[in-house]
Amino acid sequence: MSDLFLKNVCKSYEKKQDKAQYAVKDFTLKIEDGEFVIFVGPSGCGKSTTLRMIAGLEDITGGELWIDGKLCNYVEPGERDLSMVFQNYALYPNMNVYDNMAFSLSVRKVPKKEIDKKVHETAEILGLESLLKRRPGELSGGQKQRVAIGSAIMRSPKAFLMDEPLSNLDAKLRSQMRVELAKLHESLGTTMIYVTHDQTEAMTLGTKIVVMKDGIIQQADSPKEVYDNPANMFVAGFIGSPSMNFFNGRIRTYAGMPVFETVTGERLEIPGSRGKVLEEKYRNKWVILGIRPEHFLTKTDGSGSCLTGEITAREMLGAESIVYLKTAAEEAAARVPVETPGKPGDKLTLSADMERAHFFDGHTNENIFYQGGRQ
Amino acid sequence: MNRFIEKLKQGNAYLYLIPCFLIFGVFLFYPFVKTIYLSFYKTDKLGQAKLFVGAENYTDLFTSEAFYNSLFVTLIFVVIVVVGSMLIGLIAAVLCSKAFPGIRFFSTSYALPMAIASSGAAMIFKIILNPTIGILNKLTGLDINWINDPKYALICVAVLTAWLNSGINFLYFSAGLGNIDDTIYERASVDGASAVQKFFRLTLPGLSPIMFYTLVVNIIQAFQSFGQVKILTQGGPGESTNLIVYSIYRDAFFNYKFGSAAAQSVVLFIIIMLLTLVMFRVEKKGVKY
Repeated sequence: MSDLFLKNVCKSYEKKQDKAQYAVKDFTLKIEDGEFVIFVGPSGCGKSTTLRMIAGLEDITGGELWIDGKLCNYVEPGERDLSMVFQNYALYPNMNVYDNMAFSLSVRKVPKKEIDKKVHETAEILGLESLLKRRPGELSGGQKQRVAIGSAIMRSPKAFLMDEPLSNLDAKLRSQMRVELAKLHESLGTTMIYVTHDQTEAMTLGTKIVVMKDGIIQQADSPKEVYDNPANMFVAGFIGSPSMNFFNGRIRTYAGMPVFETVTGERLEIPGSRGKVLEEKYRNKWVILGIRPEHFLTKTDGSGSCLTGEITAREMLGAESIVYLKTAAEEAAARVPVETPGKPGDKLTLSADMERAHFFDGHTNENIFYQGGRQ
Repeated sequence: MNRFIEKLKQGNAYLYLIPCFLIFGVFLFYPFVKTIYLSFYKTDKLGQAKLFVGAENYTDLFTSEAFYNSLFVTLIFVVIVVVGSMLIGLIAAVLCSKAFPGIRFFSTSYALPMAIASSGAAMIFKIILNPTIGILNKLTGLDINWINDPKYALICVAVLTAWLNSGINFLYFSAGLGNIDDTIYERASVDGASAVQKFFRLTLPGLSPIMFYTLVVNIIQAFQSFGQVKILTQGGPGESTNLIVYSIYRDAFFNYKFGSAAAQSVVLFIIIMLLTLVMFRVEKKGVKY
């Protein structure tokens, strides 16, 4: 167990510096001992590349990687004392489950008795006892996944690296394995670095979420902070499902109150001190308003924060419904109680909970009220 | 004719096999049966069966020292060729499995022996191995009459054949290596395996199915080597490179003993068939995943 520190880590596949296009740029992150860190972002954002650089499977173009206070840029993967679980499990097809799990110890010349004990212990934890003699070809996806995880926890590495380990499983197995991974992290207490593009996994498993885009960290914070206090429009839109609704508009003063006026002229009052700040700094300037689907209320009190639109589609989720509205300004999604009336084609008026709305600078797309520094 | 077309229309599948059976029949089944037939006869100079002698050709063979020598020489030859050609192919394929500048040039070079006719290669080797003007003696400073010394002749022919056969092995092994998932090497790196451990614990087992196939093909091919012996040594010096196929050729077309040659062919056929059967039996136990 140990802490990792990545300092200005860069990755470029171009040899010439001047032409360099960075897959990962200026990645600076401190990972404390025992943390469950999630790298999340859309495809091609550099999250897997970063993980592979930590593992030593990719060269680090620039910057420093410190593991346990030791500079590890040029340390061989096998000597970094990390374990990795791959997306396709990477089980050795010619070995049975027992040998697969024993491999990392046997190449280190650990005595056979010790290996045997450890394999049986690990197999018991993961329920693999009855499968030890089978080869990977004879296992189901979920079983392969367990073997991959089992092989990784055989040693007690400094950290576990997981590259989208659940993406090949079906939905039910995935949620099961998610719970087991969380348990495993709790019982082992080892640092875990986990790459995923699935935000549910990110939100439920992580103690820290690192949201990436185009090779750059957008925000690194606890799941709650990332959700409630996104650093910019990208994070706000990426985390949460359905994603946050955005409206373009300007800040104006109307009847003595600061209001957000959409491009089509709908006005939403901005209550409290935030209204004052916006009025002071952003009057008549472009601002983007972000409202999460669950922050639309079906009760309209006639106050100045209502939006009306035509329902274009309605998704029934069981406990609640998602309605998609076409308002004059933008399309919007709202999470509403199941009993809310209205079918596609009907008009629906919702009031926005402006206390919990987010405001983003129209030019930089940064959250105007973002508190907390980036790591 | 009408009935024939009628049957075709009815979808009588066997009729579609006729072209294939014709070719096989003319070039394979007929010669095969004819060989067995001839092996029980004494023949005239045109190879026509003249006198039925029963198993005499066979008993002659099994009491002839020359035949045992021929078998023994063939055995050694096959071992050298198979081990040599598979090693060259495997090493070349492993070297070319990593991307580096000029990889295409090297791949092509390693696969090239496949495209060279064995007699052509033998001509070139004849010059290389020439005791007075050959480059081998010049480079090594040795003074060895490679082809005419019974100690070296067989090795020379075997090495040439191993090199010739290595091209196709290179292709087989390259394909086999391409089938091994790269991520298992990555996992092995993270697990702390050295390059040697990766080769013996992942690469070799990963190649085992294709290795088996290559082994069978190579053994059969080695047993049937002819051109290089014909050009390079003509079975000599003495009987030192008189491989069984060359011995068959010599008996049939020099000595006009077609009966004896046919009997040897049958023996060769039985040896190769038994070997193949044994290997398939072993494969069922050994290669599996």
